[in-house]
Amino acid sequence: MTERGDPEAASASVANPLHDPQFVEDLRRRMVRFATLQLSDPSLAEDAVQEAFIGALRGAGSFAGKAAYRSWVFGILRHKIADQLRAQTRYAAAPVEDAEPDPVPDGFFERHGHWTREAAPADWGDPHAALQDDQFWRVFEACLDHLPGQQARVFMMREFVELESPEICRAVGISTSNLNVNLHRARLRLRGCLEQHWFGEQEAAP
Amino acid sequence: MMKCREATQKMSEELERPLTLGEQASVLVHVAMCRPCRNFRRQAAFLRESMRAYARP
Repeated sequence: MTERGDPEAASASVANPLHDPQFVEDLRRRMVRFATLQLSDPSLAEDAVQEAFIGALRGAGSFAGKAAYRSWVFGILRHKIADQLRAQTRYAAAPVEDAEPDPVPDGFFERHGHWTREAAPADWGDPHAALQDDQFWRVFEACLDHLPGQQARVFMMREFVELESPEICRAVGISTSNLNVNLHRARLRLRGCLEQHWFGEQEAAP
Repeated sequence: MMKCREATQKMSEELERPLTLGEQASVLVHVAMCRPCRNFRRQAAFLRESMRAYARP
């Protein structure tokens, strides 16, 4: 049992991100939004988020800051979502509706199929240094948040949840060609956003 | 002759499946002549790398 004036206990309390209700509520809201986008079912999404939080309770006080804790609990949620999607597609093969992919991003290509002057990808040099920059990840998240619905859903399934293409097609009920078109459009948008808000600005900086 | 729109679509698909020999040849010829598409190809690979890093401190 710790004394009330024990500085070690006080610092442990500060280190445990679960002791900050504002942080927990913001994180929960963000996780529910992500899980709902992936699972298309608010109650399943709530369940997955709750299970992720319960799974993350163990060791919650041992993280070096809120960002580390957030990544960890999101990692658990990622696995919960993957398990849920795989279970759904195992027992109920979704019909392939093949809805029209999201609209073609405006202004990327001219009528004849070549890049427009504004959208043509610039040289980013070696972009890997950005991966060590916290500000880059804030821009990266903002760009992800701006992807349109269907593109965001399948792109995050492929690149964040790391489902294989056939699993995504079954879960969403689309064909492989439709999936590939949506993934490509998501990459076009994300690339353009990063160039506009990070790599282009870095180049312009003195 | 492959245009940028189709070439970049193939470069995206390259991340999902092996391209056929014919597709590979068409993409290689196109990127040899098109700097923006060379940049796109590198950036598409970087996006995947970034997403995996984002998913995994």
